[in-house]
Amino acid sequence: MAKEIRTERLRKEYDADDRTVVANDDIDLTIEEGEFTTIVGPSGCGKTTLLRMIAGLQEPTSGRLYFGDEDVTDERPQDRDISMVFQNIALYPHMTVRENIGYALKIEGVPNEERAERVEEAAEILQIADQLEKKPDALSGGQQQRVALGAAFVKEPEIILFDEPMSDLDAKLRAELRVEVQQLHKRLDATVVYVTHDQTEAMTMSDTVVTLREGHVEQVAPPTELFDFPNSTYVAEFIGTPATNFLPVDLQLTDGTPTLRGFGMEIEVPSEELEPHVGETVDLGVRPQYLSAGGGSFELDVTIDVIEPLGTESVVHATRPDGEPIDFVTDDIAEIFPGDTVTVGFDEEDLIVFGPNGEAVVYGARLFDSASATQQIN
Amino acid sequence: MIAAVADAVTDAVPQRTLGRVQRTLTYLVILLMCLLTAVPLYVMLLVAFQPTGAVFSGGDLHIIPQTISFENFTELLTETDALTYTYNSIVVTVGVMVLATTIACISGYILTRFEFRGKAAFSRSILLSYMFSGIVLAVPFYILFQTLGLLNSHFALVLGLTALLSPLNIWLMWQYFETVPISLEERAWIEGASRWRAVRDVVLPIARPGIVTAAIFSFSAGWNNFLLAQIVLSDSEMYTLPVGAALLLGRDAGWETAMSVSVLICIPPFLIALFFQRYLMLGINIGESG
Repeated sequence: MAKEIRTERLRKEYDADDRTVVANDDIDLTIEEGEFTTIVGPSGCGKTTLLRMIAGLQEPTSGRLYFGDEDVTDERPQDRDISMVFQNIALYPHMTVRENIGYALKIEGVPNEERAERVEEAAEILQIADQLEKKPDALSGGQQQRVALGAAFVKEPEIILFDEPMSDLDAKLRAELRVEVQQLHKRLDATVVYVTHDQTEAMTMSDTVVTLREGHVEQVAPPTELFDFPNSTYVAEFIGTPATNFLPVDLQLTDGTPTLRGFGMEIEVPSEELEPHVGETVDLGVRPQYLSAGGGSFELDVTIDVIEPLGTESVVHATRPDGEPIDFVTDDIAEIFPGDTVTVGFDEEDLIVFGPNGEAVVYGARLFDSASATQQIN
Repeated sequence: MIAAVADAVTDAVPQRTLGRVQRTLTYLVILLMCLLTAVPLYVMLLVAFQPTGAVFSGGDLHIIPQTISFENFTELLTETDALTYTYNSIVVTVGVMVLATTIACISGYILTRFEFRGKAAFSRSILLSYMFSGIVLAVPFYILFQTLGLLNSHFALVLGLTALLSPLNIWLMWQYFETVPISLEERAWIEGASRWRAVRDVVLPIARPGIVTAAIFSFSAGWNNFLLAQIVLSDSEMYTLPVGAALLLGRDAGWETAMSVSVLICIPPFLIALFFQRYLMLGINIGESG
């Protein structure tokens, strides 16, 4: 049975030299039962510490941890019904693949016959059935990863934890295993928590993404929501490639309506949320995917630096009038060359306004969609 | 100038001939080294397997034995206490192997996996204590064992040898355990294994080469020790082989008997060197890397 994971003001402090480092700062988080949740963030944000506390490998400094209704804060890892796939794969080098996958069952006391059956079934699913009698070092990196997966799900745990398991694999293998991990999750009745610094993994695999920043939870949302409605410049920058473009603009009132001015543009944003920031400089965020060559409702001229073709679309790195970089994504690069000056544009529903502290204040997609919806009703 | 000549020679001599010369020189050096070790051993065997008195008959030693005889060994086993010495040596050696290896495993594991106050000082003191030779500690050991009433016992000898040996063994096992990733143990805990079971199922099997190496060091220390055995053991009934051999030499038992005891002493180390070469090399490698 999959179980919900809930943390209550979970905190972890380390003593480093003569100061205290806070790895996790009173985290309140609920991971729904049976969901695939990814914890993402750059290195040093505390994501692995959080996972290791869930596993019981690290003791929280304070706070509580619950699996379902059960308080497991003080339980040993042995007593938590979990599996874990480690960053360095962690296969027992002296055991065969069969023994590696079956070790948890052996400890549980599952009889030999049933154990063999379950190990073989797992190996079948992971396409390593013909590798069972080999030692791990005779396998390729991808096969080793599959053995680690097999060992994690063969005991049918309530919770499976992944600690950056693919960081050492090449891109092709990663893409392949991403699909397999998801298929496994569908097959199992388990809550999955997957830690990664790779936002692509977070976006492609998860039901929910938890973005961590310096030990705090920055945002918890499904991948698409995270992409379209980041709640801070931090998330907008970290999630999605290339990173969101930020244009510093002045926020002023024009006939009582908050208006963004800068880069030769004048954008009216009729939102009360902006009023406290009138007279300040705010960040206008636009995703490179929503910035199109040739224009839109609002336009600015940029100079092309580098074009990265990715097959069906290309990422274009350019310089905007104030000398800062700006990126956009386009599927038509026949007419543009490095050194050219082109006009790029976006529409009002593509913009996000971030306040001076990096917090998202207005999402164009919500403001202007609902505005047009209201108009239609009228 | 010399370099120029060497270059000229190198240029003049064909590659194949040069290779042959290099090979021949290499083998010559190896042969010389072997002779240095082998000749004394050969003399030992020669004397041990000659009939009594044959070695010095007519005043000259035959390099090629005229006859082979087990007379000396028969005499050794029937007329001396060599069997008792052998038994004592085995008891002491096995004792040292078990005790020293166990201590090395436990201490090495603790040094690898646990942080504690004074760990750095402790590890330095391990190295430092290894620098003292046995003779420095001989008298303190004597006083210690006398106080404890342990003099003239194999147990005391085992304790003393383990103490002398432990710095090296602990260091070896520490370095070896450091090569076992903690995540292997963590995975075992998560899979339900207790700390002890994870050590038994995962850490010890992976560290087996290190354990075998520590056991070989312990064997060598136990089997070959002379000094401490002579100090601790006073009753000839308790003597180990090296002390017994010295006793035989001291009495006028004859060189043949002395050499046949030596042969007896040499057999186990020889077998170990033969079958556990790999682990001896490993000990050397760990020593270098650590």
